[in-house]
Amino acid sequence: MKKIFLLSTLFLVSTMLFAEDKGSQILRISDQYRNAWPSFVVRLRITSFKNDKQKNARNLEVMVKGDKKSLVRFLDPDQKGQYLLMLEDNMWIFAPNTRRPIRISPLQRLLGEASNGDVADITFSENYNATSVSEETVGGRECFRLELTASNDKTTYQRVEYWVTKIESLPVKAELYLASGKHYKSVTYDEFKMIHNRLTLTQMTLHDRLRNNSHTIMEFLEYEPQTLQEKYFNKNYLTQLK
Amino acid sequence: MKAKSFLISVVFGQFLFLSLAWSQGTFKDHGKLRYRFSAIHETQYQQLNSTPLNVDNELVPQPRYNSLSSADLFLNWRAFTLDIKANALFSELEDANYEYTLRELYFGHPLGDHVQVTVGRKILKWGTGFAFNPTGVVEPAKDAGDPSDRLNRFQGRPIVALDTYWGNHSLTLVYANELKSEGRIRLASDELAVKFYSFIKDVDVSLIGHWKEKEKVKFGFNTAYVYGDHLALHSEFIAQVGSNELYHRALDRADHEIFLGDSLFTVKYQSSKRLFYELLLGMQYTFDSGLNLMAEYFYDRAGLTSDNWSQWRRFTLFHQKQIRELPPNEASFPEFYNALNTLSPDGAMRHYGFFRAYLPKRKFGLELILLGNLVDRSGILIPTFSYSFNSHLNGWLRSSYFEGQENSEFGMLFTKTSLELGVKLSF
Repeated sequence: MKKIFLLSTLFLVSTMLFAEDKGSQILRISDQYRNAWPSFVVRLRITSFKNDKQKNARNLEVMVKGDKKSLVRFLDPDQKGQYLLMLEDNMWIFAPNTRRPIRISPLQRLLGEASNGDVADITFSENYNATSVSEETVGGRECFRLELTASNDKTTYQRVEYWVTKIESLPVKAELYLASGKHYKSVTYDEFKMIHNRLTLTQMTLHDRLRNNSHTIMEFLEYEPQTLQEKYFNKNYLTQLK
Repeated sequence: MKAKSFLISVVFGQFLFLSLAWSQGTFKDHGKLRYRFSAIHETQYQQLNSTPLNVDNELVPQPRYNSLSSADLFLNWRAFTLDIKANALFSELEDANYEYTLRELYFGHPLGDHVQVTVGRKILKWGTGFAFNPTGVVEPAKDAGDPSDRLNRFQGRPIVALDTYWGNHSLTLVYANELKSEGRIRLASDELAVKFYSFIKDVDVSLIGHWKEKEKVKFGFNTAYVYGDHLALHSEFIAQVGSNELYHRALDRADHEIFLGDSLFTVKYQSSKRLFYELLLGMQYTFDSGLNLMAEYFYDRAGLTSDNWSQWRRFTLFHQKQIRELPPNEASFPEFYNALNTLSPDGAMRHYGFFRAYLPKRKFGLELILLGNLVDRSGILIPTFSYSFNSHLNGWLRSSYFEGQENSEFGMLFTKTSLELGVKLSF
């Protein structure tokens, strides 16, 4: 009996380790479609819908460096001069009327459906661990289904179900859950294009599961690979930005 | 004179050359002219308070109606930044008043990858608090009832600043001088400030030092921290040994029916070894719905006690009555008005609380602010409804209710309620 128990435990742990190892590999490949260069600048349009009617549209520019640093610049007339800095899961907003960076929590939403975490958090591989990998067909495509748990308690979504295509590990969809277990958002990765010789995500849709009939489309309009200095990701440098 | 002009031209030319030569990885429109323009119009109606300090609105006439129109232009081209504002104020009591304000005009340029130099007039904000900023040693004066500066009132200070950035740290050195313009520009009091910032274990920490000519050296710190998805905490603390604060001489006298003449103020604690400090503790919580609640507690050791306040009030009311006598006592006029001028716009006493509830929706926002004196339980309630017509145009309806007993800090102010209707156009 003891032997069976030991063998079962060993099998379970091995499976988890295998899943984690394979899952990590899949996540790293899949993240490359969303974070294709070591550092780059991307222009975004975020459009909010309610009952399929357009409610709001926002234009942004985002500097991304590595997996954990991003600087968002708001372009619309009523938000000109506003910036959002994200270092891992720590966030600061800078507004021209207050003239100082303000520390904010992940849930302080500024963009309608897309919380700050969604906008700036481009990758899963650095913030999540894959605890299981299974296979599923989604929309006629053979996919891996990964169960992800956040690697630290500061991550906006503590649990994620993530589907990627089996062959290319292209992101297909994701279900996002808060620490409380609440199903918060559904994401579909809608469109990919060749940009600077890399297949890159150009459109994703976020559905709010708490507020029915609301969704947001994020379009990645233009990518520009660039070398970015560290000071752009220092909170106090926000006061130098215009 | 010619040599001075030549030198200024050379220095300016150097700045211009450095600005043109500056090229770094940045956003798409780097090197292009960036601008922001906003035009604001706000109309205010006030219901006056029947406070004994201003019976029948005679001694300190307050307008029941006024309106403000302003236009603010912000320009940035490479290293040069300009922010200029034009105001037109219309009041039932006075002729229209037109003025312009140079909010900012400065040159900011990097020296290498880690250092930034700034010269000119710039708005600096160092505090982490929302309504109160004790560590804002180089900040412009703030209205605690309007922390987000909806009317663009902040104005920069002439500074020379050096910022150094490395990793999650930065060091800022500031020299400031409020230049005097009396026929020709002259230096006023020298002022130095230093801030060391570090982001350690997910906590923003800033250590701050401040020195100004003829004032006490101050040291302090501020922090900010986020816990989980919902909760953010912040604090500020600044202290000095002794105090240069000016106190009205009436506060020290047992009798309030006195005439002080020209000798109105005293620096009571100049030589004191006591620690005078200001403390701010604040938190904000955001619910899943987006509702944000914020609360702050502010303490100022140098503020007036309840006894000080009562004494000040008795003195001021005495002279107010003397003025209303027939014939009025002429000597009481300066005593009365000078006493009113001793009140600090940040609050004259020691313990204050601030509460804010804000619910942002796509098209509109609802805000409720409560600012209060925690000792005499007086305060202001400010509800605001704001609406976004489109990305260029938004408006607001804001009202203020001053509550408190007649002898309280907010209860004795000249306004009982006010209503503001405003609109802002942005490009």
